Amino acid sequence: MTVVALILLVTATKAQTLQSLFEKYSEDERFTYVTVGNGMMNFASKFAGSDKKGKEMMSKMKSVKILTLSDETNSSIMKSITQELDKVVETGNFETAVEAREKGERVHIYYRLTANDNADMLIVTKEKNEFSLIWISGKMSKEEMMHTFSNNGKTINLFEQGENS
Amino acid sequence: MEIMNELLEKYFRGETSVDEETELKQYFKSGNVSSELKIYSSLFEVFDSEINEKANKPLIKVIQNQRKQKRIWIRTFAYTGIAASLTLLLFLKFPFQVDNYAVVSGNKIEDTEFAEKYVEKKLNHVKDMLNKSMTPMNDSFENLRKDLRPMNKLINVKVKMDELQNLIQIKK
Repeated sequence: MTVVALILLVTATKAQTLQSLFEKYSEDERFTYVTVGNGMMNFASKFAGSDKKGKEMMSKMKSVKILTLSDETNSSIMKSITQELDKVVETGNFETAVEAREKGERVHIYYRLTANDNADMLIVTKEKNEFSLIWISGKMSKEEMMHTFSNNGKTINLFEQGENS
Repeated sequence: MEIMNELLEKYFRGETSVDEETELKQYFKSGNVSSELKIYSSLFEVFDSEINEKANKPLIKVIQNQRKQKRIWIRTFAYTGIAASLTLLLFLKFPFQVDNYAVVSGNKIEDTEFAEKYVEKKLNHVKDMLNKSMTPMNDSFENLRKDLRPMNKLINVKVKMDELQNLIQIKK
């Protein structure tokens, strides 16, 4: 019983850390904060387009929260949110799913499983003068979440069938 | 810039005229936006992109659908009532914790469409960034796959050789 209570407490603390980061900066006038929760089905169909599998997966999302900061990369606010984010990722049991860099643009995707098969996906994009933090939560596996960002669900297969004849 | 600040304040209070809103849109479209006001650019970009959206279905089809809907209106009325009651009950029991809204420079914009458009735009941007950075890797894998084709043939030859060897052993 005590162990269960402790696990629940730890899980709640982790959620609060990410939650508190969003809450803190959503109040800050330098940030743009957007949250979508209700009517995710409607939004899912818009985003996934004609991709049936994508629609199904998007419908499993419960909420999307976005924090955007348009400022210089080396500004104090940019530094402080980056430091706080690093701590959240470190203490929040997030695992790195994707890390991509392209001409000064960076995308980091982190993933973690929470209670009752719920999962959190944290997307961090860093560009010249913009920093965005996207928090997606829902009942989705890592593969399902990644499908949302794949190119029509294409995967890499070195030994394709039917080509070795 | 002060004029634009005043106009923006008026805009968020919902007191701007059509002309003033046009002036604001033109200002943000001009690309010559002061750094302090740049944060509002995305707001006006979204409104601009909405203008370019076209209807998915021809108007005639929509009208026909509406007529059909009228015919089954009475039948569906009861179901809708039940569904609405259930939704209300669910809402009362489990009030939604997350709403659809945006906060731009401290101003709360309770507009679901705007919030959804913003999220859609951001997610598409991430998708584009990922696809762009993954392209060289995908190309490399494609080349590697091509280079490995002769290997696939070799694997087939090895399988045939094993079969032949088994046959020889059986005959012996």
